[in-house]
Amino acid sequence: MTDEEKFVIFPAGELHCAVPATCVTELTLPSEVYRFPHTSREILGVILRRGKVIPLYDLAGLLKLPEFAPTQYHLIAVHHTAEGTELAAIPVSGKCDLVTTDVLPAKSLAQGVVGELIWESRTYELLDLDKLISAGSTE
Amino acid sequence: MSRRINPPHARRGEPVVIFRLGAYRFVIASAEVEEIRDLHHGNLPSTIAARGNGKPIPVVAADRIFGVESAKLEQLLVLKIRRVAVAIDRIEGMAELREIVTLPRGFHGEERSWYRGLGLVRQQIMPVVNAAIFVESVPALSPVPAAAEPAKANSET
Repeated sequence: MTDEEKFVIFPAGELHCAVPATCVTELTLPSEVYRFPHTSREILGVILRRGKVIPLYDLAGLLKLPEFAPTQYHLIAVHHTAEGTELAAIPVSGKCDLVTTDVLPAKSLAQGVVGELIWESRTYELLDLDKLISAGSTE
Repeated sequence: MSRRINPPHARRGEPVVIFRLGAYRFVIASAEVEEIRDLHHGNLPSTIAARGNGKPIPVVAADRIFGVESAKLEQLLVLKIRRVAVAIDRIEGMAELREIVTLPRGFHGEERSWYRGLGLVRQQIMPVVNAAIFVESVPALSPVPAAAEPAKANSET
């Protein structure tokens, strides 16, 4: 068993998603979202966590889904950019879990969806947050 | 990772003016502000007269720059060195900017030039406006000044 086979699974509105556990740094209760004018449409605002300012990404918008039900958690992950790495937060609309399973090829053609997991008879879209955010920022 | 930094031009304990524009609060270094004037009758003049020599100072509307729906532009920030007046909703006070953080790299649009970074002010995160953007906006957003209109000085910083 390797770290690459561990995933954090979570609901994102009507979709069920997964990200590699290695990229997740923290799962927190939602904190205040500070909003200000900007033109990066994939970002909802910023949150303050442990003294760091972290952009909160609009996962529903990135996945082209309807707006989520109330956010239950903020999932904080490492986001790799051309200039380096920084933290990124996404809203999660329900319970999360850490699972170990195999990755199947993606059926979805959506950008940023790189595979599929089956866990307890439910299908989860495996997200590559870097690709997802990159695709959202160039639209 | 996000890093806390203090750029050379962001001193610890830097005094700032907090102002409101629509639903948002911003801060600008008080060192950038020469004076604050009230706007009367809801009219936005294209220029105002400078104190002393009466030379016209172009007026720019901050809500147009930031794409914000303003409730009512009520005051002008007359900038010190840059010789431009910025119409805002209203001043909300002054504070000390204890820390400025660079805008996360995820922000990739015009906001990178709008803001010097994000400041923690009164337990809230507010964007720290880069005063230079108002000067750059003058030709694009302001009509050619015809005549300087007086505006009553309210207070000075």
